[in-house]
Amino acid sequence: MKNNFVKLGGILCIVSAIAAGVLAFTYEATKDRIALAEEMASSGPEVAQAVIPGAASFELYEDTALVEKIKSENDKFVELRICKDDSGAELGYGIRTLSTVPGYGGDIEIFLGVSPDGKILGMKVVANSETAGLGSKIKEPKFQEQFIGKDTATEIKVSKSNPKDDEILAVSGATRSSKSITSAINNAMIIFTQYLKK
Amino acid sequence: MSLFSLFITSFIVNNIIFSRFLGICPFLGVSKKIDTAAGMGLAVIFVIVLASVIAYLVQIFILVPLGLEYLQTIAFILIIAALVQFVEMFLKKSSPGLYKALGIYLPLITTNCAVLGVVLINVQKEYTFMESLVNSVATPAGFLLAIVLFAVVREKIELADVPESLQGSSIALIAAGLMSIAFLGFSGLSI
Amino acid sequence: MNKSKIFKNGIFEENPIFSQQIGMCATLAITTSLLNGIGMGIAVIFVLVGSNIVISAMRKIIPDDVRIPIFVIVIATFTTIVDLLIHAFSFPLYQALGVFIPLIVVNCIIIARAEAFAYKNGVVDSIIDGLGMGAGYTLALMALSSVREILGNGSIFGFQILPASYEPMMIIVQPPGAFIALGLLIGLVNYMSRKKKLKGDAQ
Repeated sequence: MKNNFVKLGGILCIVSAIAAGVLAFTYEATKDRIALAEEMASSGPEVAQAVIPGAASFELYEDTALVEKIKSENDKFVELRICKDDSGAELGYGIRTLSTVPGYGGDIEIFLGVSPDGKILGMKVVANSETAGLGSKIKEPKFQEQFIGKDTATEIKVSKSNPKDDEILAVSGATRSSKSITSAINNAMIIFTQYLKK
Repeated sequence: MSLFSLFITSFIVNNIIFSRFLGICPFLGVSKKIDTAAGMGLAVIFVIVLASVIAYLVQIFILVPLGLEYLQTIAFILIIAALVQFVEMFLKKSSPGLYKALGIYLPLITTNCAVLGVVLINVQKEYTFMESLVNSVATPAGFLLAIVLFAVVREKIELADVPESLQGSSIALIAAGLMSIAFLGFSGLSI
Repeated sequence: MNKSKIFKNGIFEENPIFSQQIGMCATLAITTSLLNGIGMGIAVIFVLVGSNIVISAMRKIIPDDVRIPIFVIVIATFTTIVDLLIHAFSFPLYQALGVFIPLIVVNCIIIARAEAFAYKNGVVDSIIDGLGMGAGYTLALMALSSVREILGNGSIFGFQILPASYEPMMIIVQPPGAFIALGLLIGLVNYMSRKKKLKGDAQ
């Protein structure tokens, strides 16, 4: 009986070891691609174009002291990048931040493109766990273009119908997701006004 | 999010059955009678709480420090399988009545997506220990609520005149859909 | 059992969703678009066929007492492989399917086939069973996700096919819609198979 127990336990261990080995191999083989995919999704050229149309470069902001300051004072801030066009002229900032109001599935993470004079140029949702087909509509151009051109000086509010100048129309049936992404955008705008506006 | 708000959210706002779709198989399979449904619900709460505590410790002390996060799936499912095995042995000795009533559904808790689902969600959302604990109690409590309510409805359906093509799972799913609409009303709840 | 019969069994007689009603969680959750449905279907086929092959090949040496834990280890390994592959090669699909990729390991279909078929049959037959069941599952996913995507979003594969004036039926891409759509779909399949049976009996 005890002998049988040892034999069964042994077989389980061997199978587990083989499984772990196979997985370690697969992991090693795919981890670089995975890291690349993650990076492309969060700061690749496609993201750059969505955040600031016409951007030729999307580098991290050089003034690391300022970035550290923002990080210590704004806990939803993630990253700051600067966009330049082909000639090297500054097009604007890419401010990456989490939402201050959680959505349906947690915080939404966005990159907001802001021109040096404080107008919203574009945006990209970097991470979200909103309901597919519903809350995920915040990723669509139809919803996002409402924000383009708005001034960073005024807080944007969410309305369910007939939005006024400082309001945007929520995705029908996904008010929570809409409010969440708007809070992220508002936070990015506050960061611009407090630290970057000249 | 405060712990209370997390509790309410996991319990009814993002109800595991009507909103997240985890645990559907036992939900459909064990909900024909109210007392078996209640027994299953309680067993699931017990397993999920224990499983998430153990999985949390394994994640924090073994997987992360060794960079073995990709072994999460396999590690967690083995923890769950072992735990269900122990629960089975324990129930067999201490409560043979319940053990017999649950029958095949007890070992099936291992394949209950809700258990592995909650454990994975705790890890993915990077909850603290307290948050994981609250989530692990509230979520299966939501499962218990859903499955008992559903059993009540199904016992009534048994007595109704259902068209032949819709009998069985078909009408059960439609009924679940209507209950899901009711739960949708909670989605505006923010505490 | 001849090969084509095994294959067709998974699609018709013992279709995982329409007949056996297992593997439901993912079915309801991810079928909001046809692309998601097909993606999940292919992932499940990969894990199902893979684990069927390994379990069937090892069936003579797997002791009966520990067969369930061994099934679980094998299935979990293939699930993790498919998770890493999707993460690496199709990041948008990875984000869309989310937690349901690792949940393939508890998809009752896979462990049910391991126990009921792969453990008792040869490798070739097990491959065909895996393909049949996987195909049956994928077809069910495709049926449900097409309905939900067309009615709920006016599109298929992301392409708008209904006119812009179509007001999408919001509820169908939300949880209640999943339950009701699947319930009605199963009812429809029941109806069609009863009709076929009556016709068969009459002849």
